[in-house]
Amino acid sequence: MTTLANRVEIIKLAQVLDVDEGELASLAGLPADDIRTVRTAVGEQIFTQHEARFRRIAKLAATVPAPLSAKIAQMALSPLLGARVAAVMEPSVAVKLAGSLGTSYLADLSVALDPVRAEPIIARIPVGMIKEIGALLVERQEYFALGRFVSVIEPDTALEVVRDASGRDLLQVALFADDLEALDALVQRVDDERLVDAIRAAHEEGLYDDAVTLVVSVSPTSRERLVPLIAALEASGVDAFARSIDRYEAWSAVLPALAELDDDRLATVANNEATLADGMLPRMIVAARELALDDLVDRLPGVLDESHVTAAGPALTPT
Amino acid sequence: MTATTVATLAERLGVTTDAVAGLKGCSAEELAHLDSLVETAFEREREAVESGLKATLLAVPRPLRGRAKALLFPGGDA
Repeated sequence: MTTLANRVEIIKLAQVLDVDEGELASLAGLPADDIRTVRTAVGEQIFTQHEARFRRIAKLAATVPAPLSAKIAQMALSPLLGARVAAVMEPSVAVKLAGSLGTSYLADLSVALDPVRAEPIIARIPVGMIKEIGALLVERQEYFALGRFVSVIEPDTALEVVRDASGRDLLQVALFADDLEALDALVQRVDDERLVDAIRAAHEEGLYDDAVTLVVSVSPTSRERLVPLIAALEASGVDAFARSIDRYEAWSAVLPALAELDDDRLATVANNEATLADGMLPRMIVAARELALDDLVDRLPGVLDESHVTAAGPALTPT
Repeated sequence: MTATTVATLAERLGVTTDAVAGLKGCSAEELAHLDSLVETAFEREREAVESGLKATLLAVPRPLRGRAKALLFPGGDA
């Protein structure tokens, strides 16, 4: 089956290969780590095959004044080539050059830049410039680039970058985040109102899988903030989220946060139409027992309506 | 034409076969398709680098162009 991690890696590989995700449908059942290996190897090969030439351009750039280099770069160097060259430049030279380049060109360049390779440069770029470039990337909906950048910039700077991002933007940036710890650090800094926007955007635009990916990708503490927002959606939203969570076997990530809900909220989540689907409630209950969430399981008979008690079946019986 | 195997794709990617062992779950056709997508990505990059280098050379002020050409195209293939 397709896991959430596998799904995300296919989306990322499609970006790197510049193809539609459908072209990679045959990878749906493969381990996410293998797809990630292919993605990183493609990036490495693309770079190393021409690295000597990138270094020559970098050397040339270092021999002329930064304003002239910048002028030539903007006039002749495609953003892609600029990104490759930037990655092999001396950080101090690259930062000086960046100061003479326009924000629009830098944003274009950022899309092709490998943030991990360019981390020493990014670390020296003034925060104000990063915010400007980031804001432009948000405006252009360059989520793949943004998702990779939040992994190498300071969480407070990342927060500034997404300050004006919509709920949908936030979801998409989270989807592409390469470093889940960095993503969690960002989510911890995002206020509740913005998280509500993100969950509502998922509901309004049918991006349930993306939102579930976000929930699964963050820490238990952050999940405790996100799951009640899902539970507070209207029935159709809760229903769609439940189907997505079940499809990706993600109950174990969600149940600890569900256990924190009061009985009324828990009843809303547990008694939706989706959980009447064949085997869904038993799967939830089995996952809860595996996590030793016995209190949650014990509360279910008190909150489930008759049809859902029937759907849960023998799984509710203490073992 | 030789059928694409995990080993040939791994070689193109510069990784060990073990690193992408999971791809053994793909059929020969699926591997060939993935391999062609990777090859196309490499070719696209090669073309972008070639045209980018030539454009860069043309943008360098004439007095510096000889020096730039020697640096960018040491084999004289500009």
